[in-house]
Amino acid sequence: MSTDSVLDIHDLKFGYEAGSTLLDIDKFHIRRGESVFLRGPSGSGKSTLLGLIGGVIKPQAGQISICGTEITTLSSGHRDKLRADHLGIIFQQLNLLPYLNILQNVTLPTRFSKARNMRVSEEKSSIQDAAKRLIMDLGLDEALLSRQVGKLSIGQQQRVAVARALIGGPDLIIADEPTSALDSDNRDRFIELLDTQRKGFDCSLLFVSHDLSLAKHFDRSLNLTELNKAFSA
Amino acid sequence: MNMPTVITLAARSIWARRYTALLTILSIATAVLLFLAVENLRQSARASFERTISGTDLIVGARSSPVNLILYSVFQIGDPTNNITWETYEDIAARPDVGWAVPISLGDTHRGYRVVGTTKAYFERYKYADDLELTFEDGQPFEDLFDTVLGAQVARELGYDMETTLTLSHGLGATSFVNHDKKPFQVVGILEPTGTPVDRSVYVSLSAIEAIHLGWQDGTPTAASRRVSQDRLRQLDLQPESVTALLVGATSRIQTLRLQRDLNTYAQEPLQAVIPGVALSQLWGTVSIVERALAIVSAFVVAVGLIGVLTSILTSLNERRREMAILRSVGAKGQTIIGLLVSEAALITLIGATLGVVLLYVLMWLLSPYLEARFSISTLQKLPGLTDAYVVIALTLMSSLLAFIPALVALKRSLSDGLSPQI
Repeated sequence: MSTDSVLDIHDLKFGYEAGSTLLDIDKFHIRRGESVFLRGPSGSGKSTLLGLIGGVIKPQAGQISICGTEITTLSSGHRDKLRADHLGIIFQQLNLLPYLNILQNVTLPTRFSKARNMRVSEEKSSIQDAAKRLIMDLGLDEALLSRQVGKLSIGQQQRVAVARALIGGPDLIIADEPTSALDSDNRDRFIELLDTQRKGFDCSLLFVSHDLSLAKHFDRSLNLTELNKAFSA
Repeated sequence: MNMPTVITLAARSIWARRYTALLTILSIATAVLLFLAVENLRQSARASFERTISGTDLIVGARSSPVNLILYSVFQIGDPTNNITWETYEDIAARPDVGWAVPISLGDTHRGYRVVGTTKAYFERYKYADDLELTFEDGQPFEDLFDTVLGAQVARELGYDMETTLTLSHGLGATSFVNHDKKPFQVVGILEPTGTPVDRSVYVSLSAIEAIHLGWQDGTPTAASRRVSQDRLRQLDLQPESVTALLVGATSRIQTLRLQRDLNTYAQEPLQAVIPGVALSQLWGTVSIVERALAIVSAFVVAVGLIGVLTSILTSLNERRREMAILRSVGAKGQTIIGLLVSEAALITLIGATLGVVLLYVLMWLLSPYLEARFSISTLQKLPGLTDAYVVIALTLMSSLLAFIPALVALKRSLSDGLSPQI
């Protein structure tokens, strides 16, 4: 875990059917604390790449390591555990479970990951307090915590999703077009908030979007269509 | 992720879809209600059946079939084939191995209820269930020629009390055109409910049966018979020439089989002696086809209910792809997804089945007075028992097992969806 890279991909090859390669990446690397913008238009293999990093699907060849742990050789249960412990994931929209209230949504990862649960405890705070603090740091009213998901605007929901991704301090946040449902003002504010907060946790960020105008917010910018040799081929 | 968390998630997810879930729960509840109601009725019908008569070692009648004999002599269904003579009765009653013999004479009715002509000994000798004796709610056995004793249901249904006088009708049909209307009877006793055919009987003395038919020829009254007054009849010696059947008690149980054989080979007239328990189980054997058919139908209803749970979960999967993807993204393992859907099915079935049990006993509580009165079933189980618990548990397990089908479908989808949920 003391390695300085949170994500390391080598010679990765993936195809849903034998013979057709959807994804072919020589090298992709994210350092600790680094924020990376990945431009991924539809069809570039973006979803597949995220599935592979998340350990939900398995590549045919190559290595993926998360915080120094090679995941391609792990069992699916272990990959699930690694995802729970190290990754925070934010979707485009509808990130929240409608049948849980905001507090229950935010604290969900601490129920799946002992490590993240412990990290909150090490900060000498209860899970509830940690969730409350995150919600307030993200500029939301603490009173929201007991609300139902449906009562929140999309912007608010996306910020709750950030709080959930950050709770218990994972090592890498993967944000998949998290701003596409927001208007341009909110978009920049959202990214700034996300960036400030994740820095507080010394957490890296992989931000996937097709909107190049957002690239300026990040340390580094990459294009999946160039990264993925299978796309250019 | 531990079990309680998965179950909490499942419970919250069901609550969020509570209206559709409620329908599934109701279908399971109805299925369980029906299944247990049929079971309960089956058991109690059987128990009622077996407790109809006890204490009687042999029932003796004209030769037909054991089932027929017990049907008309005890259940008051169907017609007696033939009578046995009074001499035969006296002969049997006098045997050293016969402790007691009570004759009964059938053939008349009162507003659809069968009239049993018998002796006062009947009220001491007829026993039901575990040797329970007949007891009088009101009054006592008949003394006068024109006294009658009513079964509990007869009195209740017809609204009769000790003041009532009634007339009997000839024949065993519910309606009769030949009424013994010149010879009314006075109610002198009403029996307590027994849950047996006794409740539906009207009892008079054997002599009374003779008296109302005195002077009849070929089963129809004559002008002469109508003229005989009740007071005149009281002075006559009205010993019947024949009776329909005998209830017989042996002096010792061990001799019953021997006695039965003796009576079955009785030289003076063709007789048939049956052991009530044996005939009852034979009779139940014929009735049980219906009973088994009912059980099979109700089992199918339960199967349909379970398939309903399965269907409701399978159809919900589409709209819940996102839910599964979110759970996967925060670290849920494949087995958590399976656990979620299995415990959802288990919860729905558990709630539904429990509701079914509760509904059954509420209905039972509301309806049992009616059922008992209407069908003479007094052995309904009125409180939930172990069987009900077993049924609830068994169904919950079966439904959990079935839920692996949608669970595996959901798991497969959540893998192909990866972390980018469709829709």
